[in-house]
Amino acid sequence: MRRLAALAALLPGFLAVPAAAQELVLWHAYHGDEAAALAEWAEDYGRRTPGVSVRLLEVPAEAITQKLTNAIPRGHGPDVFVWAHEQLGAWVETGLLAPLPEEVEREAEETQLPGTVDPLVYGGRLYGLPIAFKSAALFRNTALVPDAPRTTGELLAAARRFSDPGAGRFGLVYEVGSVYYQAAWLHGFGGGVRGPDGALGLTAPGNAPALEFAARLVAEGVVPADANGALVTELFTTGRAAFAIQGPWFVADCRRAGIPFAISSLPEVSETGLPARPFLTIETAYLSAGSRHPAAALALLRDLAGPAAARIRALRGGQPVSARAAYDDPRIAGDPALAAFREQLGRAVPMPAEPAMRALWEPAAFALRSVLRGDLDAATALDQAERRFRIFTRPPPAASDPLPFALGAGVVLLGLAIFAVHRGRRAQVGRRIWRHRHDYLYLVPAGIGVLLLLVVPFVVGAAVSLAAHRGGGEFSFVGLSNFARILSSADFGLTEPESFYFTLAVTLLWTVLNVALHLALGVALALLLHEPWVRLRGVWRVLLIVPWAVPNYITALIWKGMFHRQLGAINAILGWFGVEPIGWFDRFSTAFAANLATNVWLGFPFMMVVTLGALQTIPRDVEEAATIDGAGAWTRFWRITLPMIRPSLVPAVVLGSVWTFNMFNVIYLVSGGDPEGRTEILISQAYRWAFSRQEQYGYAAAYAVLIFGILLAFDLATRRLTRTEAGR
Amino acid sequence: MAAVELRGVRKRYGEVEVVRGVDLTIADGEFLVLVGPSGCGKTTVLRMIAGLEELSEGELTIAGQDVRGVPPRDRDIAMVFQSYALYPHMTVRENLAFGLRVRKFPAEEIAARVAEVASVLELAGLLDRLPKELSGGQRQRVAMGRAMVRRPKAFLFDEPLSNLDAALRSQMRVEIKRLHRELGATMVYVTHDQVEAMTLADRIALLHQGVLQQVGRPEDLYDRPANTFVAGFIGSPAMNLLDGVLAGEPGAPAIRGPGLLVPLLPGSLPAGLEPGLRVRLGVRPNDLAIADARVASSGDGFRGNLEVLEPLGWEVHLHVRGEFGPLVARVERRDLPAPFGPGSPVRLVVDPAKVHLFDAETGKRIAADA
Ligand SMILES: Nc1ncnc2c1ncn2[C@@H]1O[C@H](COP(=O)(O)OP(=O)(O)O)[C@@H](O)[C@H]1O
Ligand SMILES: [Mg+2]
Repeated sequence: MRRLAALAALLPGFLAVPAAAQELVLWHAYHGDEAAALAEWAEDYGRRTPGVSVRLLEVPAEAITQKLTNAIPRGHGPDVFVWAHEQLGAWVETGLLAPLPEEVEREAEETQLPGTVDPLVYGGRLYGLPIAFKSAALFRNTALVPDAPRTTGELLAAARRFSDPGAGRFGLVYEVGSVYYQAAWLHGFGGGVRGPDGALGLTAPGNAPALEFAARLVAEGVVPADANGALVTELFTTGRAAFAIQGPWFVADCRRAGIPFAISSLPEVSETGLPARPFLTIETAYLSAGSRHPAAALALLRDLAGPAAARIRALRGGQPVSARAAYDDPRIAGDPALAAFREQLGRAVPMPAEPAMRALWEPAAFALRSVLRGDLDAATALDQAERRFRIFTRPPPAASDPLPFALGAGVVLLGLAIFAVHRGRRAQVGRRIWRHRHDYLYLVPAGIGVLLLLVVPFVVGAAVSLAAHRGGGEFSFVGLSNFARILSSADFGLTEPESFYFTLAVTLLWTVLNVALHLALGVALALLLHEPWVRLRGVWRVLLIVPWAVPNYITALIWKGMFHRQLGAINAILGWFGVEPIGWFDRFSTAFAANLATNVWLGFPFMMVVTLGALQTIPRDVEEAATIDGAGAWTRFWRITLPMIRPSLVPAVVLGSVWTFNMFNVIYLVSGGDPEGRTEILISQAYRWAFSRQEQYGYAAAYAVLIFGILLAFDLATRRLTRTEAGR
Repeated sequence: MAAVELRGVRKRYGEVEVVRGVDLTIADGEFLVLVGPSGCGKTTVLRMIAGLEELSEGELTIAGQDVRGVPPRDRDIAMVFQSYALYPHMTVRENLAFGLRVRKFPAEEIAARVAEVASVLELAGLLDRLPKELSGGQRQRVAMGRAMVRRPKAFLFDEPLSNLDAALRSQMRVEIKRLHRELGATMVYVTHDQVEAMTLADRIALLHQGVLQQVGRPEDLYDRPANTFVAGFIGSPAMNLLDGVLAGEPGAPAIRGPGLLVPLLPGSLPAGLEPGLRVRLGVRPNDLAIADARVASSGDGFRGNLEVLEPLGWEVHLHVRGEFGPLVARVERRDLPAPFGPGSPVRLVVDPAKVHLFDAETGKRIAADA
C-alpha cells in the first residue's frame, strides 16, 4: 500500500519530463495527398527548429468542431489547428481562438494573396493565417468546347448544343440543389446572402432572378435535376457533360479519368453584366486559445502559412495555396489549374463567418429546391426562407427567475420523498435491504453504470430543456418557455413542417405504418418458414436476418442511392416498365415512401425472429385439433395462431414502435427531411434545432423531453392493456 | 354414425414403413380399441383416419365414402388428443364452442349444445375458466366435450387417459364406456394399456410393428390368442410361455420339456401333427394350481423351486424357477402348503383344457379349432 502511494507521488514528475522538449500538437482534417503534404512540412519544421517537435492528429471532418469545443476549454486541445474559415465567428465567440499580433496581420496582408486575409478578421482582430483557398470554378471538356465562355449567354449556347437529356448528356453539371453552388448565381444577379444593410438574410433583390435562372437550367434539361457530387463526377469524367462547376478537389478526378479539360472563371451573367462569383472558403491555420506554448505555436503558424510550406502543399497536395511567394516557383505558376483558381479568387465572395450563417443554409436550400421543382415562385420561396431564417436566429427567450421553479420542484420532490419513505417503511424496505446487503452490493457496479449512463444524461437533458443557449456554451434559465413555444406552435402554422404538431402527425403516421408493415411482413415470413415443406429453412432464415445484421446507416445510405433519380436502381427498374424517372425526394408521398421502404427492410427481420420463436411454442396438436374442429388456414391463423403468439408479439411491437418513433438514421440519411423538411420526424427535427439552427440546445432538449413523455405514455398505456388481459 | 374401413393401409416415412398393410373394418356404433406396445404405429393409424396423415398405400372409407384426399374437417370425425390440445387462450366454453362456431352454427344451437355437453361431463361450473386453471381430469373432460359437442360420425381417442393417475383413470374408463352406450357412436380408441383395452372394447385390434396380430372380442384374444405375441400382451400377469415338444400316444397327447410334463385333452390338436414337434407352451398364471406338496417328487406338471412370493391380499403370485425357466403362478393364499417359503420345492399343475400351444417356429396358435 505504501509503495503504491510513493509511486503515485512520483507519477506527475515522471510525466513532466518529456514536456521539457516542446511538442506542438496540430489538428487537421486532411487526408490523402493533402495530409501527406502536411506531414512532409511538419517533419521538415521539426528538423529546422531545435527543441520543438510537431505532432499531427487527423480528426474526422464531421467531428472536428465538437472535439475542439470540448477539448480546448479543458486544456487538452491542440496548439494549432487547420480548418475552413466558416466557423471562425462561432469559435471566436466560444473563446477557442487566440488573436494574432498586429505585426503578424500586417505581414499577412503583404505576403498572402489579396482577399485571403480579410475573411479571417473578426471584430477587428485577425484570428488565423490563410494557407489555401477554395472556390468553385468552371471546368470544361476541351474536346467538346475549346474556348472558355465569357458570359452565361455563351455558356448556355454551348451547353444547349450539347444537351440531350434523353441520351444522358447534359451541357452543364453541378449540384444544382446546393446553396453553395447557387451562391455564384446569386452574386452574379446582384444578390447574395446579405441584405442591403449588410446583415445576413435573403432579401437582396437579385436573389429571385438568380433562382429563376437555375430553375430554367433544369427545366430546359441543360442541367440534370438532383445532381449530387457522384453524378457530377460521373457525367463529366465520362464526357457526357460539356461543363461542370466544381472546386479544386475535382482536378484530381479529371486528371485520373484522362479527359481533356480546362478550368476558367465562372462567366459574367449576361442579364446583369456582373460576374458569377462563387463562395470562397479560406483554409486557415488557427492558434488555439488553450495553447501552453503560444510563442512556439505562433512561430509554427507563421511557418505553415509561409512560402516554403505553401510550396510543399501546392506541389504535393495540389492545393491552391495563398502565399504569394509560392507562385514564384515556375512549377506552381505553370500549373493551369492553380492559375485558374487564383484567377477565380479575384471574383469570389468570402463565405460569411458569422455564427448565424449556419442557420441560413437550411431555409435557403428549401427555397432553392422548391423553386427548382416549380412548387413555388422565387419571390414567395425567398420570403418564406427569410421568415424561417429570422425565426431560427431570433434571440432566445428572456431569462427568468429560477427561484419559483426551484421551489416548486423542491415541493414536488419532497412530497415524493415523503411518499416513498412512508411506503418504504410500511413495506420495511430498509430492513429487507439490510438483510440482503451482500446481494445488493453486487448490484452496485451496475447501479453506478445506470446512474452515469442513463440517469445523469437524462437529468442534464431535462435541465437543458428549461434553458436557452446563448451561444458559446452559455445557458440561461428560461423556465417552460421552450415548451410553451413548441406546444403553442406560435412561430409556425400547423401545416408548416417546422410546427411540432405537423412533425408529430408525420411521426405517428411513420410509426404506425412501419410497425404495421414490419409485423405483417415479419409474421407472414415466419409462418412461411415454419411450414414443414419449406426446404433450406436455415439458409432462408439467415438470409432474411441479414438486413437486420447490417448496420442500419449503411443500409440507409444504400437505399438512398437506390432512390436516386438518375443513378438509382429503383428508377432503373421502373424504367424497364416504361415509367418515367421519379424524383423520389421531390414530393412528400414519394419521399415518405422511400423512407418507409428503407425502414421496413430494416425492421421486418426483428418481428420475423420474434414470431419464429413464438411459433415454436405452439404445440402442433393444438393446430391439428383446430383443423379437425373445422378451421381452415385463415381461421386457424386468426383464431389460434395469432392469439397464441400475441403475448410474445406485444412487447416486440412496443419495442419496435419506440425504435421506429426515434429512427433518426433513416430519416436523416435517406430523405434528409426532403422535401422542405416535411418528412422530418420529431427526433430529426430536434437534431436540426440543435445543430443546424443556431445551436438552440434548450429548444432541442425540450423536443427530446416531449418525445420521452409521449413514449412513456405509450408504454404505460400498452402495459395497462397487457395487464388487464393477463389478469383475465 | 358410420363404419370405418381400412384396406391394405400402409404408411411410410421415407424409407421406414411404420404401418404395414392394415385391414380393419370398424362397424357403425362399435367401440374398437387399437392396442399395442409403444411405437407400433397406433397413433399413425388414428391420424390417417382423422386425415392428419396421408396414406402411403391402401384404401380408407368412412360411412362408405372414400375419404382419401378429403381434408380432416370434411370427414366429420372428432379426435381427443393424448395432450388434450385445448386452446390455451380460450375459456372452456369457447373451447367447446369453437368447432361449432367455425362451422357457422347459430348461436342458440351452440349455447344449447355446450350446455348439454357441460352437464353430461359435469363441466357446468368451469365454463368460464381457462384451461390452465383446470386439473388434469377436468382438462380431459373438456377435450372429450369438445369432441362430443360436434356430434361427429366417429370419435378417435389417442391414449386419452395416459396422463391421469390410476384412480382417475379407472373412473374415466367407466365414464367413457357410459358415454359410448349413450351416444351409440363409432369410437376408435388407441391405448398401449391392455387393461383399458379389455375393459372398454367391443372388439380389440392388436397391432405390433405396424402389423395387425389379431382382431376380435376381448375374450377371444384372451382365450384364443392367435400367436405368442398376443398371448404375451393380453392378460396380467402375462401368460407363461415355455419350450416343449409334442409327446405321448396319439390317444393321450402330452407336452414334455425340461422339468415339465403337461397332458393335453385328446382331440384338442389338429390331425397330422408328428410327435417330437417343437412347440411353445402357454399357461396363464391363474390357470396354475399347486399340486399336493407332499407328493412333490412324482407326477406331471411343472417342477421347480419357489423364488419369490408376492402376497397381494386374497391372492398370491408365485415366482417359480425350474429347468424350463421362470414361471409365474397366481393362486389363492389359502391353497398354500403350511411351511412354504423361498427355496421350497413346488409342483404346479394345469387343467389340460386351459393349455395353449403355439408353433415354435412361427409363433402361431396350434389348435383343432384354429
Ligand atoms: N412424422 C414422422 N416421421 C417419421 N417417423 C415417424 C413419424 N411419426 C411417427 N413416426 C414413427 O412411426 C412409428 C410409429 O409411431 P406412432 O404411430 O406414434 O406409434 P404409437 O402411437 O403406436 O406409439 C414410430 O417408430 C415413430 O418413430
Ligand atoms: Mg401414440
